[in-house]
Amino acid sequence: MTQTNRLDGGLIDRSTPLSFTFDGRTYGGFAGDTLASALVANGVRLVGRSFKYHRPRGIISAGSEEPNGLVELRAGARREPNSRATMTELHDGLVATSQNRFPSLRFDLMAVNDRFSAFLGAGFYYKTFMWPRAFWERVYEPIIRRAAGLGSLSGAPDPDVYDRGFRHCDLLVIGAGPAGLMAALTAGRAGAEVILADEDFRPGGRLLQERIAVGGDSGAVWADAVIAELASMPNVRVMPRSTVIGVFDHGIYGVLERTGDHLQTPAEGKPRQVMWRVYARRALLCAGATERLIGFADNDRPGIMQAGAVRGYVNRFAAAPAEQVAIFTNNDDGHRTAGDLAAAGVDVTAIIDSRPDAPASDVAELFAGAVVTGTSGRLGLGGVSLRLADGGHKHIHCGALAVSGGWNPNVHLTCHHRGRPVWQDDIAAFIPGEGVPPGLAVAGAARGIFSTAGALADGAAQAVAQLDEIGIRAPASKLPDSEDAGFAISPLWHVPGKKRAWLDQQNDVTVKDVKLAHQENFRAVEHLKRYTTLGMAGDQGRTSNVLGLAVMAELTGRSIAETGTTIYRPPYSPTPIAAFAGRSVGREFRPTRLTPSHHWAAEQGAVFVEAGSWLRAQWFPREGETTWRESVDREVLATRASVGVCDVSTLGKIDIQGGDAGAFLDLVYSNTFSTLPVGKTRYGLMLREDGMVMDDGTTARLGETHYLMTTTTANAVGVYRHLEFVRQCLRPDMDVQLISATDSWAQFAVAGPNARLVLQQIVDPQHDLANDAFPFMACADISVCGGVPARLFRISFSGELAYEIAVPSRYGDAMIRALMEAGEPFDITPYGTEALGVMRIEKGHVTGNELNGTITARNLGMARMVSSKKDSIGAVLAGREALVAEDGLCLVGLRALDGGQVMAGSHLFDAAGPVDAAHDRGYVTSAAYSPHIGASIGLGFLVRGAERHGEVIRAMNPLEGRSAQVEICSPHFIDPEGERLRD
Amino acid sequence: MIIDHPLLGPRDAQEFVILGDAGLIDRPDWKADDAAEAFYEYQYLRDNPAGTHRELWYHEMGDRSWLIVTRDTVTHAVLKVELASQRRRT
Amino acid sequence: MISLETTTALGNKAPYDETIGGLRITEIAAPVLASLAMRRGKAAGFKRAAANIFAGGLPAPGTSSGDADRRVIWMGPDQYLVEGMTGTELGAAFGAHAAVTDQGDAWAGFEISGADCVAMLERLSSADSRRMTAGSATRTPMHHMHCVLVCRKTGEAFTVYGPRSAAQSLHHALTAAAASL
Repeated sequence: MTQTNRLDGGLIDRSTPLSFTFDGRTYGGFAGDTLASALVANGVRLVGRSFKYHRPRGIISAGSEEPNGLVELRAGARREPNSRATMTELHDGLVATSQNRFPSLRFDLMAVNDRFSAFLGAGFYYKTFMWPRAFWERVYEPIIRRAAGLGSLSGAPDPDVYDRGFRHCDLLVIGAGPAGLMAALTAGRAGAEVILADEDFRPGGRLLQERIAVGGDSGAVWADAVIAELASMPNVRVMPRSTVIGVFDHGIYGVLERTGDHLQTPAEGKPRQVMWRVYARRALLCAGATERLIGFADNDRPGIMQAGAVRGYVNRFAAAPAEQVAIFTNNDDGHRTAGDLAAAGVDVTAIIDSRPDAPASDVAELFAGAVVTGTSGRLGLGGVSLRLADGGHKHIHCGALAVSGGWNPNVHLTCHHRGRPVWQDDIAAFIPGEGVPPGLAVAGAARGIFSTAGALADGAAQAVAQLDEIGIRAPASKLPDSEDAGFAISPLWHVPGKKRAWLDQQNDVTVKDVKLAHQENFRAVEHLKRYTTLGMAGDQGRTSNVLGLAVMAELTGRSIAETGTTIYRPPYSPTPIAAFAGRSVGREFRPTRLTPSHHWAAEQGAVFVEAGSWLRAQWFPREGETTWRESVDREVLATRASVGVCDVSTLGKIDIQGGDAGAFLDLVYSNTFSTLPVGKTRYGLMLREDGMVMDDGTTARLGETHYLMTTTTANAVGVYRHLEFVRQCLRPDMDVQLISATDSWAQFAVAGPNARLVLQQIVDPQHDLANDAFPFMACADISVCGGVPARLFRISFSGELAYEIAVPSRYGDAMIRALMEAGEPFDITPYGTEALGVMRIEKGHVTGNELNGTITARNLGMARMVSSKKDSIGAVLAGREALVAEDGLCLVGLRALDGGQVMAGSHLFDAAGPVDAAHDRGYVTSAAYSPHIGASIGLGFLVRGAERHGEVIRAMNPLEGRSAQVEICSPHFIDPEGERLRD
Repeated sequence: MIIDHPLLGPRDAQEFVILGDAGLIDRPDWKADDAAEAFYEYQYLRDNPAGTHRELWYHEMGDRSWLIVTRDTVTHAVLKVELASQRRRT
Repeated sequence: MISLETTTALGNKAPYDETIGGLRITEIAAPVLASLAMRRGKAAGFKRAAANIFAGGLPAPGTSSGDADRRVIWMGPDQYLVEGMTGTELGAAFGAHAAVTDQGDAWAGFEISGADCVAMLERLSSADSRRMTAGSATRTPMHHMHCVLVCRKTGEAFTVYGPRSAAQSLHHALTAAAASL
């Protein structure tokens, strides 16, 4: 495991050797390495194949902008494709695999694409897969899908957990380079709440990668000292491994913290990543700058890297990209690179500086005014060809080429509110311009201040300015001394030539593609982007965009400033969807509400169904029952024959109190409640202002100024919101107070001819349940089982003699057991939502299926319930001409003939005639098998339905290919006179 | 987004539910001669401008207040927040 | 006569009590809670009654007042949640000045204590628990549930109330957050 390219020095921990595999081969590295630096140290240059042409590719950068060094990390269910080797912290046992190659990285069959590159240029897919149309889905799509993508997913559920979180601060500092560290220090010392987020596992930014002294020490020593001071401040939180991915409205920032990515597997229960929602009063973007390459023929060969990345590998990671390194530059950074390489003992074979007036070099042979015109080597760089200033040619051997085309400030986050960067000529780069999100300022290299001294000073000054805006006075910190060199650049975007010169290496976009886009008139930057896919890869064009639009500017004869740049959008760097989901996955996707009798029902073997966020018992299978229908039919018949019990606690319950409570209810219900006597319950119909039915339920008057409203389970939240709207927005003058009581009460429907006999054993004896004493629609505060407070309502959803009895929820579990015990002599039968549904359909009671938002009281046959003698919501618009027309829909009952089946969703058609939209007479809303009728029945809406009882029509369901002959009847299949209720 | 609640200070918009144009506060008189027309306009002819807009927001995951939020729908800037129950009746 | 036993919000006889890392999470066995809303036009009498019962009178928005036995938490304009008094007791004290509703069965309550309280709450709530001091109280969503968060001791002890029917989900959210630190 010799690390062939490992140098002395660096910021790695040589006392902690680590072992990892790449494509099955074992290599060694050290703590403090990234996967990329360890590969470099081991002399591995070839790490992947390109997206379209399957060209051999190597690592280009040492940061999050990496377009080429993408690998699959880990194995099995934890496999993660397209992971940037440059952002992967090395740990012992790390497993990485190259992608987009078959059968192997060194020999890839699809590399044949490269030979056909002339046909695969920009727009190839748009132009090629046009016709015949019949081929789109069957032929072309499978071809395109096979070719698309780099890595592949494991296909197994991710076994790790992810979390979300919320943090608040006065100042969020984004990036811990010289500007960010100085800003955090200044703000921290002033006592402000500070969060310092940096995407690296070790804060310091370029201070770790350069040989630049700060305050008399190395940059890394200074950075460590600052971090130590920040860590000692309780008001400062340093978040390494944390990427600020987006800027949202009003100072909300998305921050992805990779808490477990650097571990073999996160400990049980610990998240792999945490997505923080940071609320920052002010933020300072100190994200630094990204170095760009230069376009020249075959500039994508493994071994060609950013000059700054070469310095990073040599200085921070003690890893030489090759034994012999050449440099190609258009600015002074190339010379700095040469100095660093020479100091580390690496052979610098040439400095190729495109500037004719390039400064002299004392470490390597300088070719001023020369450019690189081509490269050679099969799976890695072997040498470069030059065109010299005098027009001559030369070939130079090298295993790596450090390229510096200048620096692009990392303005991305300033564009998240459609901010437009502006071009600054002297640094040949875009800097933040108009539209930077409010509350966000920019400091250091991110706004084009490239010297270390300049970044330190700007970080401190911007922190003071930002804190001043929110009333925190920060004394200026003393600045450490550092280099303050100017930045001299003569732009060179690409070296003209006939062969392909890459701009966007991840998406395989070349200078030729931009020329083609220009030729075909896709000249606006946004068109260029979409036509060529330039900048549409995972890196959002961080190394390529400016190059591409500079080439376009050249072709159109406009300046780069005029050409403009595309918009950057969140996320700043690729972010797993799992991190956005956090813990909201699987059963915990949203909260589950359990009924008070849930544990008891589970003991009975109940089958549960999700009803909104509730889990309700759907039916209670008994031994020997093989189908759900058997269980449901039994529950229905037993209830109607003797007595059944059902947990109805899920119905919304709203406690309404106040001197104007009755008047308030008169406004929100279409019928009148102010006249309801105390101790009585009334059915209420609630309309929306447009006249459609919103909800229904019973409301009880518990006292002179005290009502209790019930809502349907599904609408409980919406109705409460509506009532608060009426109370606060429409009638703030009324004396009305509201509070939800849904969770307070465990409520059970006890239904059937023996319901009273069961309850008499539970209810304390002083409460008379006789029909005269407690008639239909009565309600009372009572006590049960020797003094436990309870509420009793004589209401019925099933159509039987029935009560709903409520006890405080803490007694709910005991209450269902008590009811079952008391009901044993009557063979009391627990029933679930299915039987509940069957019985309410048999009785013709409407529910959410019927109250679908398009139904009026008139459609339900309840027009008389809309009082015209008082103001009530919806009453005026319910009177609109079309809503009171004679040929409106009417609620009807439907009974299937000849053993047919009524299906909800079927549409109704006359007995004869065409089946089309023009002849549609209505539709079926609910359907069930009625053991009472012995047939399939349903409820539905039918034009002039009330006049058509007795007719036979057709219920058609073309989607399911089903139809049935149905007889129109009253929606009340049982006890239409309501005698059972009143017994 | 952040909504600066008049009683509770800045709160994440995720805690709120939006209803729309604050014109819904001014419900017409049901007894007026033109009630049908007035209710039609009240219900259906509501504003939805690109620019400054008064909207109703409900602090459902908070104190259950209905708020009138004056907001620029283009920039999302929140310009003014009032309790709906406290508005001066016009 | 059948007698009725109570269960906790999590559905057990005994309240949940567990220490996870540096955090202790305890279910409140039987919360004593009632909602208190001022009747319109009864402000003077309402405030007078409150001043008699609660040390410090009525709390400002975002806070609670009272003492260890009886606390009153601001819930909304003219609306409060009272700890330590039943609806009956509270109704008797306020008479016609207030609308009172028992809420002891509406909420599941969990006490959280330990040095990692704030770190845990950061994973659950957008409330700035770091800046909450003893007595601070706020309604806040936690894992999509409408909750009430009360600070008992700055940085060290909090109470979370959530919908009783969602006690299991709230419990899962709390314990998972505690275990993830």
